[in-house]
Amino acid sequence: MSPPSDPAAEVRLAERVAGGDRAALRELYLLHREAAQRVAFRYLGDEAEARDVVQDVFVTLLTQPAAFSPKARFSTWLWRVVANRCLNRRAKAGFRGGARDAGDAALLEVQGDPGGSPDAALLRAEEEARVRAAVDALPGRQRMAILLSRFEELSYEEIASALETSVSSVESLLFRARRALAEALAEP
Amino acid sequence: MRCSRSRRLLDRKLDGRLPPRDAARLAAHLASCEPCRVAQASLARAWERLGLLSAGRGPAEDWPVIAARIAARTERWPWLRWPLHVRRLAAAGALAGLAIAGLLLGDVAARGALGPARAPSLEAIAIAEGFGDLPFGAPTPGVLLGRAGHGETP
Repeated sequence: MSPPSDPAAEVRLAERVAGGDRAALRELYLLHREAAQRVAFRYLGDEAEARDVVQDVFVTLLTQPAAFSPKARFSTWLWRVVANRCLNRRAKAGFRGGARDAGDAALLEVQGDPGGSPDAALLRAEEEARVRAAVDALPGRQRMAILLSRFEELSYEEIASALETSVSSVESLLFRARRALAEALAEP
Repeated sequence: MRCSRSRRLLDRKLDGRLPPRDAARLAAHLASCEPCRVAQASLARAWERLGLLSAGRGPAEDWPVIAARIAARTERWPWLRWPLHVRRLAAAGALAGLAIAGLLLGDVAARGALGPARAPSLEAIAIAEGFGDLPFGAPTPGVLLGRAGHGETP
């Protein structure tokens, strides 16, 4: 979940960025990099691609400040740009998300736990890989909607803003995504 | 309540968006409908297992990379260093300049200053002097006298 922040303070920071203030940009980056990286990684399944998306987002904020409207919450803009970048990358011909990165990360997490047994680590890695494959199989917008809902706990309205669509469309995306995941993750 | 309606409400229940009245109606339907109970359990299990999806290794300290990318872009396009309000003024000025230039050029073209000089051909002068204005207009230069008719050496 994203750390709590003061929306008004963030808008002031974004306005300073529009004036070319790089220190303000760094503050916003430090506040939001974790959440942006998290969403991008879960969407793309590739650490390097996710880092590239996050870098892209903050470079854009300084070089194209007109893209951010001071009337909106900064987090609204951030989710929209992160979602757009991820959806565009997925749409590129030949791009394939890396289940290997996800599997490696799962193994690292369990290996980091001295109390975990090797069997438990392997089981967890297999389960995580299965979940990864199920998420990767979702169409782009369903995938983004489910990730923003499940992990960032965004409301339907916030997801609609991020995906530049309506609330009813978000409900439909989540409905279809959940059914697809339920089918893919059903007990064998 | 029909099962199709119940399945829709299951999602809202998962998201905590179910009004109390709908929650009560859903609960009553689930009590008597095993397929919907199975569907609910399936959704809840998938939602829980989704939590296994890794968040990755955590954020990297990429600020130096971001700063380097910004520096590279501003070196290539120096106007990116300008604050937003200055860029907007510059863009407005450039658009105004283009509009004024377009109006001036259009005015000049309309006055024919850029068009070719349309001096009457020798045939036209000769026919006008001999016959006056013709109903079909002046002849095409060169039709009667060839290229010599309008000053060119043959």
